[in-house]
Amino acid sequence: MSGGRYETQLCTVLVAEQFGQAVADVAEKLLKEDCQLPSLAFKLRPTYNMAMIRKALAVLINFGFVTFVLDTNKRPVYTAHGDQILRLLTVPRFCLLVKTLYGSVAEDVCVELFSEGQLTCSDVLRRVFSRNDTLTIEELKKTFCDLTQAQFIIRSPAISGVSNGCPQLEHVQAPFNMPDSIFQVNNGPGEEKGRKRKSAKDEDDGIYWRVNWARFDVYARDEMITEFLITNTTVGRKMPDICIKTIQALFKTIELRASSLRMTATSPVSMLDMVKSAKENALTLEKADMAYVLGEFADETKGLVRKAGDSGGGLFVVDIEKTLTEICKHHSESLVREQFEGRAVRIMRLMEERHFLDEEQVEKLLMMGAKETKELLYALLEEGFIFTRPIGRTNDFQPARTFYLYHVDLQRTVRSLIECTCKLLRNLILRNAHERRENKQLIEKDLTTGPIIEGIRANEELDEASKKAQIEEVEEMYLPGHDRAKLERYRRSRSTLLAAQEKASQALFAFRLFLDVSVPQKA
Amino acid sequence: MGGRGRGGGGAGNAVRSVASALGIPRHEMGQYGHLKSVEPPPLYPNLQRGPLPFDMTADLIYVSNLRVELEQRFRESPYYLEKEEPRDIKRYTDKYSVVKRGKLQIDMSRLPVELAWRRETKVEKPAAKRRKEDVESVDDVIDKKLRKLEELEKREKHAENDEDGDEKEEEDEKSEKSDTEEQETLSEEDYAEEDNDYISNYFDNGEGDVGSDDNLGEDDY
Repeated sequence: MSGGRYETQLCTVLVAEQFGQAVADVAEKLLKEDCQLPSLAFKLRPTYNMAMIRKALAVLINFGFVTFVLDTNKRPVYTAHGDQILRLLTVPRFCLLVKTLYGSVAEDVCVELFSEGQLTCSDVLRRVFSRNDTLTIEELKKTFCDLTQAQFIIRSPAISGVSNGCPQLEHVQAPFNMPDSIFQVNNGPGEEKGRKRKSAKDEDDGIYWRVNWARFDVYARDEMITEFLITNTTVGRKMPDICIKTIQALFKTIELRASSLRMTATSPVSMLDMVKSAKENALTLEKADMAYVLGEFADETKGLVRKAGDSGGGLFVVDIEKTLTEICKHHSESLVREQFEGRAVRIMRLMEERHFLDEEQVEKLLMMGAKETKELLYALLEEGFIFTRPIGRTNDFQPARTFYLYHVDLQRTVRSLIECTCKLLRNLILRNAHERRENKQLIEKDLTTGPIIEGIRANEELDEASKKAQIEEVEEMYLPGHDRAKLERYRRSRSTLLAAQEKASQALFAFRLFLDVSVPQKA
Repeated sequence: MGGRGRGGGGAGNAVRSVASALGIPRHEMGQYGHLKSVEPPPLYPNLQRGPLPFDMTADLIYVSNLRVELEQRFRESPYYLEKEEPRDIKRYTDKYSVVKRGKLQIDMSRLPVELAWRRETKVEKPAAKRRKEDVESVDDVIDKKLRKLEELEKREKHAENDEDGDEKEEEDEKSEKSDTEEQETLSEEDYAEEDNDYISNYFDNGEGDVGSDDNLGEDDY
């Protein structure tokens, strides 16, 4: 699973941000090449000692970024998974999703699971409880069960035995079922239990849970498709609420049957089923509205949503592959528009329609000047948005007797766009880290002023006017005007950088999904 | 002169045909010919168009705030491994700037045994420990046997080379000494790489013994 150069760099930077440089160096070496512990130690020898390398590997394995298997000589070989490391980008979005679906308690559960890699159920409950003790254990347990039912949390593989000093991991048969032992554990008030349990072992010791990314990916994909359909159709722009609900109802209906990330189109869903699932999920939706919206979609989207039959009030299908293609096309076109001009986009669209074209044909069809066309074509060619195919009139491909046909190859473009996006993300993260380092003193000062001001506010002996005066004095002393302005600027740039990072990671997700789903074209 | 001219003309023709294929008119060819010094492109070129602003939705703001929070949390968690670097100057503020992290605790039963970085963890895994002991005891047995064999060999030699006198013996001792020295340096190197790898230990013993054997054999001849 080794990606390109920038993908590896991005992974390293991501790990360095969250786990420190030592773990990142180990991850980088493993991403470049699978290896055994001794050879890994050899590669890192002057900088890190054995204990550090062992710890770093243990951390990486704990978070699922590295796996191990026994090779033919019965020694464990470690493999890093870049796609798992890239998950670190989408963690906040996962939390947001869980929060909107199941409330903030569920979000806390997920945050705990993320920050520990994997945990036993009772550990999760204990940790969430220690942070937020307004909840009851029962409530927490119910949330945890809900999350497993919805398949957002999955069981880690169990250990079936040890061979040659390497634990053998076994796939769990029903990874979403809660074992009964969990329900027997934490009955009664949590606090006492918490203290007692530290000495004794939990009932569910060794049963670990982690976040189920596959489920999240499906959800994120559905969300992305919905957003695309809304923003790119007139119906969607006219009545976004109804459209969002309709498509959500459609996806919810399939979710119950089977929904895999690799499928190229949803199975046909009848209107009646959709109405039923809308009712179940408390989406207030009129059947007439739904029928109208779906009809409009089928007419307008050129096959992204299409009608597959008439039974059950009409069968509808969302063509996932086509929609993903459109999304990627949209991204690449907006990039072209930004780098070049609107005319370059016209060239791209023409090529998509007519496939292989000569320079002169482009010129004539678009009614553009020869020089201008040539310039744009060469620029697009250089940036990897269009490609040439040489066709020689003679066998020796002599330049004078060879002509070149231009064409677009979205898969090839997307592959290079993935690299670009990885580079962009890496730069954003590094820039953010740099800003943080530059403004370290200011941030620390701000952190110390906070409690002081809080203390003054909480002081009841002072009246309002003197409180205000004191607060101002403290602020002036610790953070004078220009420092405050600088801090404010840092905050603003940080939020812009993070937002850009978020957008870019969404685009990266779309690109990767497109490559996974789309069938390679035979050129 | 003529030859050169023709050669130049030939090259010119080729260049011209390529240029015409590329669509460069004849009168502009001179410009391209003079571009000799190729400088690397500037690191931060001015963009022709600035990036388009995007609207900060509530979701985006929430997600980015959460990311900041999570990163902070990771930086304070025991999973964040930093290399301890010796500081050149000791400062009073040092003890305040150090982030206090908990002890790294990972369920060792889910990891390969070779990753155990603490000695205590071995107590928790009786299976692994027993195996190690077994191997060590086997090692010891081999060691003892080899030593016995060596002694026997020496005694035999003494019987054979009695008349050769004490010189040979001294030589023997010397060669053996150098051998043991070699062995020591080797084992030190190996220990630097991995301190509890019993396989390399075993390998060392074998090498040392083989070496001394060879030397003794040479002495015989």
